[in-house]
Amino acid sequence: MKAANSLNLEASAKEIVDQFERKTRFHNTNFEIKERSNGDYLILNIVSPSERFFQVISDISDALPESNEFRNRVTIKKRTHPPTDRLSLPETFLLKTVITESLTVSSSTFGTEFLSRYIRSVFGAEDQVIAQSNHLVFGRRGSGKSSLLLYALHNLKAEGVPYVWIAMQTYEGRSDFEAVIDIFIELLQQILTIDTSLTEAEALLDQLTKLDSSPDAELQFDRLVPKIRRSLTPITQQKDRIVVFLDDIHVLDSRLQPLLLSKLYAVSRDNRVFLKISGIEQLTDNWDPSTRKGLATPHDAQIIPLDYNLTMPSKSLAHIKSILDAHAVYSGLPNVGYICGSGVLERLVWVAAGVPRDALSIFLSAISKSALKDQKRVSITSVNEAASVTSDVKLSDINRDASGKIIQIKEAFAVVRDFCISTQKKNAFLVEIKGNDPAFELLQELIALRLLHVLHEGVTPHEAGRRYMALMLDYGFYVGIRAARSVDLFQKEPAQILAKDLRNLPIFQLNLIKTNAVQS
Amino acid sequence: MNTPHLLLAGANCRKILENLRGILDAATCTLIENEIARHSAALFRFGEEHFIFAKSLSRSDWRQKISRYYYGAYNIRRAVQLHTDGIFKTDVSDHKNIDAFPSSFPNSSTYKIQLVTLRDDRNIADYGFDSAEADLILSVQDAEDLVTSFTSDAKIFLNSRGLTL
Repeated sequence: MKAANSLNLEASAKEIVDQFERKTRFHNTNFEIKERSNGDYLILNIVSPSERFFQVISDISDALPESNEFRNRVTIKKRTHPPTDRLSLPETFLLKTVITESLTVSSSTFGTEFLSRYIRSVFGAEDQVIAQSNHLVFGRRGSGKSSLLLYALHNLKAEGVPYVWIAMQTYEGRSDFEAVIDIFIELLQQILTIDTSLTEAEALLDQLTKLDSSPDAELQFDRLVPKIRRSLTPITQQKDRIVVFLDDIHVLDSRLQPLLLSKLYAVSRDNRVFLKISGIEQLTDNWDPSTRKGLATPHDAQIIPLDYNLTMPSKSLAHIKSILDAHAVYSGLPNVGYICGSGVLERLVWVAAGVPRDALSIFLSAISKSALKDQKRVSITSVNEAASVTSDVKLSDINRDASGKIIQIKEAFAVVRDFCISTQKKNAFLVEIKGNDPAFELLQELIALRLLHVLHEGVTPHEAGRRYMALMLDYGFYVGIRAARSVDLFQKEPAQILAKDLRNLPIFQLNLIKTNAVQS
Repeated sequence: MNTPHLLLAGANCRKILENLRGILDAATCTLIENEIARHSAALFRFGEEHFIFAKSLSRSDWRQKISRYYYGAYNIRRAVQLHTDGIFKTDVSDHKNIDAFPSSFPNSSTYKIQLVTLRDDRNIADYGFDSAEADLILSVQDAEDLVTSFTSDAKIFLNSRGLTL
């Protein structure tokens, strides 16, 4: 009889734990059955149980059949004696899953939990992006551009305001005008999912589809612009406004970018249609002064800068820590520091140069590296090793993001790397700001690709009138590598950058970057 | 509590008030509103008294501590329910409603689960003559932490509804 009862207890506990693991994605949940005179209790142990876990257990408990021994007798407790090996905790495994998922941001990221899990940016960009005006959100890859657009999108959802989301990756590298037509087709298709009764939009969709292969497509398209504009009015009158998101416009060929933006602006201006566009600043041509086409700033659209490189390291540390903390709490840990050794987060922010997604990616890899070495917490050594692996990813981003100057960019980077590691043996340097110099423009592209990071936007170390930018070579190219141990590191952790430290940095001469490389 | 008393006028004094709004003038409705607020605040303070008493007891008096912590939380929950939904109950079965919160109450799922556990622990403490402290699900310290945060959240919640405590 007792054995049968015990089996029933086990089955009841399994029913609850299985459901809990399905809903939270926990594995190997630590639990116990407490026997006592007024009935047995099922206790799930979590290092730091938050409301999310209680919500799940409450939902499960409410739906349990009468036959379950633990109906209304199940709870969650703080795990009192977790193992010292914190990287083997189920909470840490869940954290890894959660970070992995957060690395790729799409319109479905975090689902309905998006707003509750969103971490605000350092300078309150959220208040700007939800405003009823056109915006260009600029930042390097991984700086949070798409997340910021999604923040606006989820707020619109909550308000019931219609929106269109266009992932520009679909049009990567396109320079043909048909790409503009395709984007408008996608826009109208999404509009028609909002309101299927828009007969004019439906007719225009047909006309645009036929334009696709026409030789004078642009001329014909321009004739349709007033109609496209008019076709949106019924929705804006009924729902107040439409917001059009273009995520990662920089992947479109730079010659086509201002043209696309001018067509979108023609449809949206004074029509209660607002544009929210993200891109890498150095690779985005939002305005072509020769043709006077595109979105001019600040008249037609305002810029929201998201990326401050390493110019404000303490703010970057606070931001990245708050992102990781939010993921840790979601996973049942008190904060991210719980699984980190001393100084790990500071080093992480520095090697990631303040770019949130790079920090998440490096941290994820560092957890695995530390676990493989049987370390009980994430170590600085693992962060360094992970950073050097990430540098390969950044190099491959050259092929993906660079605006048609792949060879020049690679050559310029090789020159800078050689200057830092072999010649000067310092990871930071000064370069004179020469806006129109093609070599300086190449350095700007290296910054956009996160191979170089800005320490200071403009210092005057020697003679007045000559301003220099302070730059740092990405950590991934020398930390964790035996050959580069002789490199003198400019700071190792985020701290206030002093002018006297910058003045002593070596000066990189732009003419070191070959002229033929620039001109080819 | 003797007649005449608002809380004896019916099962739900807020429903009574809403249904009388068409008959009574605004000033009279405000009088009833104020009366609901006064009793809610009194219930809250009653809960706090239990809580303060529980804290003052010796560590070895685990039964009394658990029992009073529970009554502290129970009466504060009653204050919340009276102020938001107009419900006031005196029968013993009301203890089954320890987990009845408005959905907008902060961390409602945490309290829903944990206060039910605290009620079970209180039954062990008050009636389990052969039970030991080790039988508790929530330790005495857990119970104190739970009721402390519950009291704090309830205060913020009621203040946000305009009840001064």
